[in-house]
Amino acid sequence: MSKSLRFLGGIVTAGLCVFLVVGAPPASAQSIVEDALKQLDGPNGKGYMQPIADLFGANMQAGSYHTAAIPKAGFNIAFDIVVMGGFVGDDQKSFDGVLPTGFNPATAKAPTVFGEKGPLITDAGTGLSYRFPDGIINASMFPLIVPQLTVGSFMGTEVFARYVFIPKLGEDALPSTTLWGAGIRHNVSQWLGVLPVDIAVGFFYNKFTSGDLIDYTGTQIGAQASKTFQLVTVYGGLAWEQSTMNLKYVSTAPGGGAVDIDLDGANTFRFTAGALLKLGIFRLFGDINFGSVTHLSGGIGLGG
Amino acid sequence: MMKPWLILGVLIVALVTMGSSCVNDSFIIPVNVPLEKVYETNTGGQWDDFADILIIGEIPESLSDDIVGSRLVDIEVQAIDPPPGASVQGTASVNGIPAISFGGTGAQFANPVSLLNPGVPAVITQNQAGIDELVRVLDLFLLDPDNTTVRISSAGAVSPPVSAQQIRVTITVQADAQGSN
Repeated sequence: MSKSLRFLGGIVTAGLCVFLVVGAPPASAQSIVEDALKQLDGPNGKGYMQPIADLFGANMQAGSYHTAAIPKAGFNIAFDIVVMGGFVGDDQKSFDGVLPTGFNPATAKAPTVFGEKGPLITDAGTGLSYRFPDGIINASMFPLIVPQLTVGSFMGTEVFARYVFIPKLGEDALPSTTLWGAGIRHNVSQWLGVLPVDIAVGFFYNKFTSGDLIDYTGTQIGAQASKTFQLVTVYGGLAWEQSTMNLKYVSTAPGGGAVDIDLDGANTFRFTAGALLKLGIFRLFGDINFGSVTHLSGGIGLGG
Repeated sequence: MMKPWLILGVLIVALVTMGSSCVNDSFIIPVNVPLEKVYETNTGGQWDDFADILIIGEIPESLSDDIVGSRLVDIEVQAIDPPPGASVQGTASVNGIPAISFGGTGAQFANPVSLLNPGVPAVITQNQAGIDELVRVLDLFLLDPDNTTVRISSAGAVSPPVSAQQIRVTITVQADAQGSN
């Protein structure tokens, strides 16, 4: 197998993990995660899926910049493949599950989608029992890969966009899935006189939908600084952000019915530190992001 | 100029292999299986009917291949839009063996009552012989999932008599669908 095929295989493998999580494995009418989710009512569905919202929200808003040095003018274009990975913490592997009304005990520690075995709980009064679903995803890191195109510059301003579309395949096999994001960044340094570093500010909006199950939206506003040393640029940034993952499904749990819940992503603030290496037309970049969710992003780009 | 691609490849492989083997080797999804029938009173205000249910038929096809466990979660009774002051009395049985008895006013059954939520004072009681029969059927279901049926039946009366009064009895069980990587 050629290196390029192996490389492509890596992307596809990581991508399949993402598709599995978000509801689109190729071989079944419904994803495993969706099957598990439908057994849970709204509160338990929220607990089961909250880590996905946290990690996915953090990932989606990562890796959008690798320098604050935006040219003041001239046509500039760059294409990046950005890989992100959020660490799955131990506290994201369980939640306080709510048992069907009337159960004694009323709550029990239950696994999230990243957790382990679901507990079997027996009601003290009747001897009736209930079991929570097991965790499905075995991961210490939750990955995401997106392509990104950046175009500039007009008065020190550039725009960037991400887009992935997977059409509906078969009658029910794979729901239509769309990921897109768009942002704008502006060179602030040009208005501040001589500074030891480049400074930029930016806004980023991103969205993800998968069938009727998932509708995710995220926004980010931030400021970035960078310093270039020959081939290497060191960059960092502060950002405020928010994300919401809406889940819609019909629960088969006792008292379940139609479920429509919003899961707010944990990250509301992030600090980013990273480095960019320029090798001819290639650019390599990597950064670490600290916030409620700690995660890495990195990748390779052409142009810029 | 292959180095950058190799480095990205290493990064991706690291993310995928260090971070995720994706699906757990084996996992259980307990599928909620409602065994339900709605009964209707005759002109004398009485009902007496049954349904034979193929259990596997109540489980989504994508989850029905490998059932490795099962359990009774609850049995629920509801009268649909009953006269609030009417008396509702009945039993529900599994394979002809009473599993629950219930009795109260229409108002008490307007919302579902169940073994877990029997009301105060209790308007629904458990009959162990019928529960044991259901457990036996669920055990049999694990051995012969494709052919195991259960007969759920109910009989009772609403007084003063109300015709076409609907009584819903729902037996909720969980069937453990095993998935694997």
